[in-house]
Amino acid sequence: MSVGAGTRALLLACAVLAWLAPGNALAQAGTSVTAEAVDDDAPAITIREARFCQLAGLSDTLPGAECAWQTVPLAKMWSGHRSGAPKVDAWFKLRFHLGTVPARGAAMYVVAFNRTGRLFVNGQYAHQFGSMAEPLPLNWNRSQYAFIPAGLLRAGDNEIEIQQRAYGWEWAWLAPVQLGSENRMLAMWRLRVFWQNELVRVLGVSTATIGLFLLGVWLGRRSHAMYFWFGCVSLLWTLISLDYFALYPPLPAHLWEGCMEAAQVLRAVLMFMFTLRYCGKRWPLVELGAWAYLVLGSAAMFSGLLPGYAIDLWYLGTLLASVVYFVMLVRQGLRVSPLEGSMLAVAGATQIGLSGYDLWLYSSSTWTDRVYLTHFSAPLFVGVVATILIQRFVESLNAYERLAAVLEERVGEKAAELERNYEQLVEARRNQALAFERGRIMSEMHDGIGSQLTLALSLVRRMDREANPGAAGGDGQVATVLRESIEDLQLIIDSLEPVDNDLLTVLGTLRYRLQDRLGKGGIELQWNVVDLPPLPMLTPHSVLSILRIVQEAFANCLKHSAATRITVTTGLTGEPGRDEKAHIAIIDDGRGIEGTRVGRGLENMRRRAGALGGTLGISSTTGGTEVLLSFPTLRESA
Amino acid sequence: MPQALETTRAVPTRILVVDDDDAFRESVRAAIARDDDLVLAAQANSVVAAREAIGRGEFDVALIDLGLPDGNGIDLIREISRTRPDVDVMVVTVFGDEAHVLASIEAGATGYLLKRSLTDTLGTTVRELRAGGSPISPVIARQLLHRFKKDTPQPSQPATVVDDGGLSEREREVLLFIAKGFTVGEIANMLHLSAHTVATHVKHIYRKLAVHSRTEAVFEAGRMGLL
Repeated sequence: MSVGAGTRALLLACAVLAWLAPGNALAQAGTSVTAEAVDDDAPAITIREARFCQLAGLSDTLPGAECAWQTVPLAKMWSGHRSGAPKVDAWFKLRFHLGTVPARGAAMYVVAFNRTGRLFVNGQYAHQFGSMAEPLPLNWNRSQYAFIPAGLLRAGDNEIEIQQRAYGWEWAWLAPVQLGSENRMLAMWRLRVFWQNELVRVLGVSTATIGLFLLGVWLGRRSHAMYFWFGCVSLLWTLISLDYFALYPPLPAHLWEGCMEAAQVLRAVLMFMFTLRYCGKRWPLVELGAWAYLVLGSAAMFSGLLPGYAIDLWYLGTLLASVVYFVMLVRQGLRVSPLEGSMLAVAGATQIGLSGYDLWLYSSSTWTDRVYLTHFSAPLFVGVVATILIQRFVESLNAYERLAAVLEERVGEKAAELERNYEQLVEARRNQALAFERGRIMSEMHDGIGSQLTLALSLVRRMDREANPGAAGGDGQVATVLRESIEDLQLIIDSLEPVDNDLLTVLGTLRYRLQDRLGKGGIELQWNVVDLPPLPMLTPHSVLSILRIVQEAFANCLKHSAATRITVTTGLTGEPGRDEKAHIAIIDDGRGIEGTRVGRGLENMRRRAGALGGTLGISSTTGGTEVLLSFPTLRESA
Repeated sequence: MPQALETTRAVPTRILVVDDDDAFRESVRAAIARDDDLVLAAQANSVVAAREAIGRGEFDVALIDLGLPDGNGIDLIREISRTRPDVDVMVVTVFGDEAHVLASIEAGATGYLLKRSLTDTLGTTVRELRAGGSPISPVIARQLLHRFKKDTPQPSQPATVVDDGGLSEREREVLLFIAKGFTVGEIANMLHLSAHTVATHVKHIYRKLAVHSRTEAVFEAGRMGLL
């Protein structure tokens, strides 16, 4: 918690009381500080006492005895409250003794100098600490440095006269003055400027950056109000830090002081809003009360209705509130994760610790080179909270990305599934179309050519019987042609039947059709088959080839072999998917086909086996014939 | 009816023939006349005439041609199997192809004959049918396996359980063997059953399919809001 303007005044008032206490007031009037030499090797001398005279108005010349000169210890605080003037001057006379006049002159360094003023050495003008007219510079947090040319100095007693000017409504002060070589003083001054002003400027830029980033995040995600509130807090830190490093206030001094005062309260209110959102809470009445506290207090302050102590109490009220929200933050943080909770605790504790340090610094009775540290806790606190918020942001981004990845994967799976389904659908449609077409052709054959052939066969048979009543059984020539035509048609129909790629069903169908004829021929059929896996190459086309080959083999047995037994075996050799082959053997125990006229039939069988990509082997002895059909099980090649 | 042969010898099986082909009816009539076990109960050349004969006639076996000039033989099969469950309906087909045969079985037929060889096989087939055995081809066996597989929930049920719609394990076994080209006799040997029992299994399966198809139709109709 930075020390605001009001508190500053309050604390400095306390400090003044402390300095005015008897122990500190033991100033030896007229004591002159002596420096034998002023160079880079000699230690700086510090003047802790001065003659002091405060005017009711302004005076650019050193007042004489008419002014109530008094000896005061440095630091000296003074205020023109009672004068009622807008700006007031006071004069200091500081004495010191020089053994010799330093050849390169000397330099003066004052840790604290409020507000502005001029430096005279032995009655000669030497330096001005900022504008003496509106606008007066913002010097409350700035040390001052001035070079004193050698020409202004003299051996023996010297006097520094300091004209100090401040607004009538504020406190002015002068810290102990240090004298030394230019190099030494400049080094001290620059170091202090770096820590006290430059670094604050850098940190102010960083909190502004973080604030803008968080507001940007909030703009993209309006529902996440906590980004908004903390972005505002962060930007407000930057605004407040202006008071620490700006050379001149951007507004009229009094208005600026008021704004700084209100900004402290506003920051507490914004922090409170953020804390509530961070804890996932909405307390409408309390929130309204907080805003009312800010607005009413600011209005009262700017209108000048409130006395100074009331304004200080108004500000101190926000300090109490800040303790509350700090505890809430840490508790919620611990609920989220130990890390988050401890980060918030460390940041908050640091801020409280540094504020405490600054309080001590303000109220301590001695002026040192220490700088106020509270604003250094701002980047830490802002950084921690911003880290938490950004981490959440990043986490939600990551979660979205993971979700997106999962979704993409699922969509991919769905797409693949759809594609599979589509392919299946296309396949099913095709099969359906094929089945429909097959059904249509079958129906045509059944009702058309099939029925007509059947009718013709029955007519021919009847005619044969009537022409030759005594003849036994057997069909005549025409009837045989008709019957064979029907049987061939039957074979085509059978090849179109659904067989589920099962070779045994194909062979079984043929067996079923031939059963009667084999029985009549007195031939026993041995069905020595082994089950085969489904063969995708069993399309109607290849099925018809197999049926024709096997039927031809059976026909040969029936016609020529005089066999009493036919054995059908099946088998599978080779590696699936590569060189796998299915085998069908038809073996009879007849007299063999040597010398019989089966040439054309065999040729047809071989041609058909070739169309299957397979081979037909025939081995015939006097003890029987074996027909071996082998064909690859891979999908039928064109 | 284990002593089917003796029974049928005593009382000839009365046959109803429905076909629009006069020559065919004539050859059937001749075949029946040649067989002592068979007697022609009535013949019809159209659905209308057939209905009349069905309503009037006393018959044990009906031979039905599917393609009639005034309607579909399937309807006749369905009517007969509903009103005369004691009658065996045989569908007469040219090729015994799966589409025609299965549709007929679903309508209630328990056998089928090939038109071209009917005069030779009529007597044997009818006698087998009356004795409880139905003819079946490997393709039809395979299709029956499909029909029942579709409707059986999962193979997790105990093997011996027979539910209304599904097949018993034995029936499934028989169908599988037939689909692989084995004859009823060979299956009987392998399963240590009589050939008659195996043939009876087939007829039972046909009946199941018919019942199943009917309930499915009722179910479908109910689902579509027709009932």
